[in-house]
Amino acid sequence: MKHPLLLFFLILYCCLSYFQNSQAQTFNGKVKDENGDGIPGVTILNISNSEGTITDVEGNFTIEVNAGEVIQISAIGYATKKLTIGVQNTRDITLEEDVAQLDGVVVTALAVERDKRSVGYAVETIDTRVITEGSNNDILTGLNGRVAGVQITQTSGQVGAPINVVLRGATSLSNGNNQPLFVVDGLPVDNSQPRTGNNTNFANRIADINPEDIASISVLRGPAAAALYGYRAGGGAILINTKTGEGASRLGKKFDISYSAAINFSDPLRLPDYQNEYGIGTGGIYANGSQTIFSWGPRMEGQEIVDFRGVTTNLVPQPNNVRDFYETAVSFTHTLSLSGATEKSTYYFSVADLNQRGMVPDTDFRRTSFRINASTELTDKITSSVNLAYIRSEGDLASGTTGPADRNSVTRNLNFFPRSVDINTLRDYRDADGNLVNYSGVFDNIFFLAEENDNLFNIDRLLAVATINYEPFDWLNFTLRAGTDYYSQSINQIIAPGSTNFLDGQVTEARGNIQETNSDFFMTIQKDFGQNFGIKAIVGHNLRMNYVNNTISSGVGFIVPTLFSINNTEEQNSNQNIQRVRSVGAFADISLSYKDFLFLNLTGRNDWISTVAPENRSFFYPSASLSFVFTDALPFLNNSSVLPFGKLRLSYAQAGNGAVTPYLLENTFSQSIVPFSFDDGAISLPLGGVAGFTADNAGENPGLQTEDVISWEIGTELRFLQNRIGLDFTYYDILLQNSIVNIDASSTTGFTSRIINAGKVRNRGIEILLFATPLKLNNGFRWDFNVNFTLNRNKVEELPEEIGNFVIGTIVGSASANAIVGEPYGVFVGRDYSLSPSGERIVAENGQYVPSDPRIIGNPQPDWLMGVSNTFSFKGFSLSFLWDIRMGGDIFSRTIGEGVFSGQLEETLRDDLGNINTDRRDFIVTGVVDNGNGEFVPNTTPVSAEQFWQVTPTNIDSYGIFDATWIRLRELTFSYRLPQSLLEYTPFGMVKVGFVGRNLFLHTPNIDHIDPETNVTGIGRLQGVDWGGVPSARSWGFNLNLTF
Amino acid sequence: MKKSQYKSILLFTMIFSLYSCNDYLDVNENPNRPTAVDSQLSLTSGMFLTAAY
Repeated sequence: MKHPLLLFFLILYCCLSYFQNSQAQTFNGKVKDENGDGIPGVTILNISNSEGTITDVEGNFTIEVNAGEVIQISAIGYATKKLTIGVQNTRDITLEEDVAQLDGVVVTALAVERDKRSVGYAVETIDTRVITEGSNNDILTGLNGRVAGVQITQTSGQVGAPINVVLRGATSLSNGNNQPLFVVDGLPVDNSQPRTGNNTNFANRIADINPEDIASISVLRGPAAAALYGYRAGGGAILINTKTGEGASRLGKKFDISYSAAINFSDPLRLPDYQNEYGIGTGGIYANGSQTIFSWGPRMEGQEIVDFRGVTTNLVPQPNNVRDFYETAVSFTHTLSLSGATEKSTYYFSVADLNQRGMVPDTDFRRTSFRINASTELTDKITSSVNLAYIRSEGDLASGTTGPADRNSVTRNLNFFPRSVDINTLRDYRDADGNLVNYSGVFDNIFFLAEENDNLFNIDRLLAVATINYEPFDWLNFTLRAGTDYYSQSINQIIAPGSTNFLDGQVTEARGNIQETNSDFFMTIQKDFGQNFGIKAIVGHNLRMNYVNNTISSGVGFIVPTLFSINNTEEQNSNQNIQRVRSVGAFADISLSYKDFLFLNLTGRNDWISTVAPENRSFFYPSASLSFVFTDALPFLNNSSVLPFGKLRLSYAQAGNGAVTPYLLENTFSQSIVPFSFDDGAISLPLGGVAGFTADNAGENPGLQTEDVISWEIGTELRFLQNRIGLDFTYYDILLQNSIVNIDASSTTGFTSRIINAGKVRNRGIEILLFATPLKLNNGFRWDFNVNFTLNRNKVEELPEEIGNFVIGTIVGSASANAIVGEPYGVFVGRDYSLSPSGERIVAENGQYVPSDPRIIGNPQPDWLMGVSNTFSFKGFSLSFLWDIRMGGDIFSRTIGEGVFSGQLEETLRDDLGNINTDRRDFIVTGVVDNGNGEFVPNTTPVSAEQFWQVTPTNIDSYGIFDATWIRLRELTFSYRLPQSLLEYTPFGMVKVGFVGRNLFLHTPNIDHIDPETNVTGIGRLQGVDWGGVPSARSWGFNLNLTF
Repeated sequence: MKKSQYKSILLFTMIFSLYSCNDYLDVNENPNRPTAVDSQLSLTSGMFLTAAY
């Protein structure tokens, strides 16, 4: 009996097994993330029969599957999971984020996507969510403090202010502005800052890109990464790709409607610490503003005075008079987008509006943008895409500071504003008869400046890119991409009649057309040979046309005082500048791979550039890079849980540093300006039909060539403990040679200067990126930690023999930013304290410090930069802090110098050593006096506080040099995403609300009064100068994101 | 490889070749200032001094 029974059970088991395996069942599941939220668009694949499905918007799916079969659950950004189906027919599945996969693909030069593991140079992909969640109005503000190797400077708190960005240190002495190349959807775009001569800080034009439209940002930090851009690769590149409809497709939706809105409020982050003891006057005696503007008058004790209006009032401090000038700035942003995908096409459409009112009265900025991105499969082998954007930017800004005689800058006016003047008495700046009301005959009424002196601008910009891909075989692809970036700008600057500098008024009209057109045509071959070898080759060419046509016309002296037209002026002047740059490039890129752990990439690009002589115009730029994933190569590290991923990389590149400025090869002549010695006047020709030309000062140099950049770098990328910890490290060395410099010419040449190729500037540094997830709990709580560290050492290694000291930019008087052999780029040169042989400050017979000859007094280059971000998330909540630390580097502050000169800052209640001197008594400056016998004896001559504080910052440039070290809370965001369950019966797919604060905390141990993150001239070579600009802003606000 | 595919490759190569053009780069003539002027229009330093006094 035993055997038949055994046989029966065996047959039964087989039958049941067969029955189980052969009966398909409907399996229902829900795929969730670690927060418990459903993940849409997840691919569910039955491995047995390759049939699959994707999850819906809420993460639900249904699939026919047999018990015992295996399904694979995969989604971008998550670790793939496999699940054996049992008898249960429903189950929730949780996917974990896959850090390694998240950095799986990076966008590199020419918008070519590559596996990150194969890349042998430093390239960092930025999660664009950090930009949009921070309600940043532009891309660069959002990147500030987040990327290693990048120094970003918000140059003022003005609405739409320019933002300087430098990758791996400055190099250009006179031929560029040290900004990287910006590329949008594969199209190099213009990022210049409009300038008209009065230092109004108009935005550099990358600010035109709406952050909400951006899908990805890749920072190619060095020439090796950007090598395929050839002569434009020297400063690195920032690649921006805008959104497509693929996002909706991944969400499992036919289309997706998104709306985001934000409101932000801003106030000055830091204003100077003022003294509130002494009022307007000089020598301790009261004077109304027609006689002086300084705060060196009597102690304010409530005594009766007659003010500038002739009104008898009391002399009392006005502690908030400067703060009261500023208004709370408000900005509103709205973006509405529609995206979707069909079987063969994708589309993305957005309309966005940014509307800002500035802290300075009557300043504003508005940007309205429209974008259409569409792609379609024309045939099985041909796909095409179009990216179109129209942007209009417009506004009215406050004038910047041009120099010590400038009376037209609104905010510099405040450097002198008396401590006893109630600023509210100036708000009605015209009396009943229309005459200007003012406390001062030196500076204009500040509200008159703000309200009637305009810096109006508008910019209409079109970005258009069309791409066609033809893939005749799966290993061969042709890409033709052509695009243009065109904008017209109009700037209208009015100085109204009555202005101190221009009593009869002045108007400047600047009109410009800028066009950057590029076409790339390249062929890509990608093929694997067996399991071990692979090759990817790109061969192609680039055509570039850049056209700039700027005309600046100005008129001085309005004949009819209320008509601000050039036609209505007594003197008129006009200047036109047209520039054309063209280039042709041919490039090749070959990538070889071995067993998917060793990658060699070789590139070469030859550029022919129009701005150099035909016999010199060919330039070849090679690069080589190597990537070695040693954790895959070394058997003992395979599948290591401690070090799951490790890569070494090495690269070398030669690149150019931009085209030579056009038209420097030949001598030129300009219409003459003939001076008259008897009255310091001059006439400009042509006059009355008479023309006359004189040779320009700069001599020709037909042999001028582009600047060369030679770079190498070595780095590693490591991931530890199941990708919970990651470390990227890079060391780089970048040498710029054949620098273009303008040097004095011998008088025998007939020219005063000539431009030559000479000079070397080197940047060496390290970049560290550390990221970790210290805490990840089963209940969904997660803590992410991210640090980026940048240390750059900059050195001018060589200059022409004729000069040992090249002026990069003049600041004021004898103070300038220079290139000096052996010193960092842009060191500040100016007069310092003269020192005795024993190192004591020398004092003159009048009791004041003796200035030295100009010498190095400061270095604007920071010692290092660090950004630290912490993000805590739990369920739908997310809290994030970004700390931004800058160590070292100097700032040259004229704001502080002018503040003590005018007697308004707190220092003026102290002596030269910082001791309290509230009574403003005369004091003896600490120092020594040369007694004429070569001996130095202690100074005994007293000076008045007023004399000391006026002479010292004027004579001693180094007084204005301060260490700019800072620690700031660059950004704080708190957001909450409503759970899907709450949205089940609403039209919304996602609802997220957030709070954002920027610059909520600032600590500067070595400088008071100002935020050292500023620069009076905006972007460019001269950096680290503060001079009466709009103070930086502390802002906070709310945002809302919806999808339908 | 099919004949049509060869044609496609040839077409793209031709487009590539057509772009090469030397004249394209000859745009460095200064449109803003003359590089030579007639002697009658040229003011020498002597003329400057005469005008100044």
